[in-house]
Amino acid sequence: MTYIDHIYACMAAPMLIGLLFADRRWRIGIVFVLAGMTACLLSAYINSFFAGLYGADVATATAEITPVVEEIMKLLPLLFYLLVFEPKPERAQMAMIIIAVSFATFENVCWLVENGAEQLDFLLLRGFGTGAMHVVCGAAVSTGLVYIWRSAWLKVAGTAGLLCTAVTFHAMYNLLLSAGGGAQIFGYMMPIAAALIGYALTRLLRAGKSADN
Amino acid sequence: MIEIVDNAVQLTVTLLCAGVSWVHAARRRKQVYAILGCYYSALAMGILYWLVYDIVTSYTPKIFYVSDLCWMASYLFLLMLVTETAGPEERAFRHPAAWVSPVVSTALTVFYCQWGDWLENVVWCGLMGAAGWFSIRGCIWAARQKDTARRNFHGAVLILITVEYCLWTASCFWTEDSLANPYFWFDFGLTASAALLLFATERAVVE
Repeated sequence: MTYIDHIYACMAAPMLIGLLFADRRWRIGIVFVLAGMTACLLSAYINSFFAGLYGADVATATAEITPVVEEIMKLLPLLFYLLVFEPKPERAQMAMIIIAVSFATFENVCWLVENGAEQLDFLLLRGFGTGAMHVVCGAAVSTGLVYIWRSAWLKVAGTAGLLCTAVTFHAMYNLLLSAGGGAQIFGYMMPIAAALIGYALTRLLRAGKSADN
Repeated sequence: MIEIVDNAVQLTVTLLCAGVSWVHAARRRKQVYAILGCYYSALAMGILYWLVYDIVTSYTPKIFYVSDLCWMASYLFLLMLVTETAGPEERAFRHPAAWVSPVVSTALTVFYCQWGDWLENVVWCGLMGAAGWFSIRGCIWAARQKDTARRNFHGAVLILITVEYCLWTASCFWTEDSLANPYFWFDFGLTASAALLLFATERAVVE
């Protein structure tokens, strides 16, 4: 049994102390790291609740319940930030990336505590795979949200559409991982490839914008 | 096997329609094509997950959250498509026949609750009932205005909703994985009516 709440307390404590001493600019970054870890912790509880409610085994819960719960939980801190603070688009995007990274990091720490850290090659694949998956989903949602929240007519349906994009990508990743063999390797490579394509596209768009200016 | 073929055909058609809609949205800069693109994309994502799940595990998802979320988003976009494309006169028009849709949806919600989750059924039938209300109203309004393209657009939405209800009702009674199962006839019909919507929207918007 993994005491996920104990791990959370141990990891969150230094950050809470750091909040007291950090200046305003850095404090918000620490808050988003904590938000990502908290979202991960709460997701684990909600996943367990729904798995129990529907009598789902581990494979079913991983492929069908976890992606929906985790993507909704990751989105909530960003929605709160957008609704209450109305930040600039770049700040909102960065907030979501920090939330996604800290979510993936906390998930990986819990996985390491449960499964050990003997196989470095597998851990590298898992680390990059899970990290890329959460960051790609986060980046897609935040980029889309910043765009669609400019148009009142698109807010509700657009948010649902973005959420379903992230959920489907996450669910496909979990599904391929649970299949094992070649599908598992493909599953790990899929978000890494998506992250690299996303990075290349962002660089191209930035280069295009600076050429226009 | 027929389930995989059915879903593969549906995925191909919806992806093609999504591609065409997004190309139109980029070239013609019309909001309606962007909404249509979102509708097909959300629909395709739900089917993609369903298909991959079926291939990897050899059975269909037991808890429908992922695909259902995508399909609900797609029907939200369909509702937007119906409401956003209406002009001020059509929006102000009212006809009692439009209430047939919410009444039928409510009756079917009660019926489907015998099998599925009540909240999910209420959301689904609420979306369908609302889209149906707007489409029946639009159909009657377009017929009175002799606007054939607009009438056909609303007709295509109503066909889509009707086939979807037939599909759900068939899934309550027949479950076998063979072409003799009416569920698959309606699912192929749904694919055709989804493609029909693209042509009907193009005519209604452009002409």
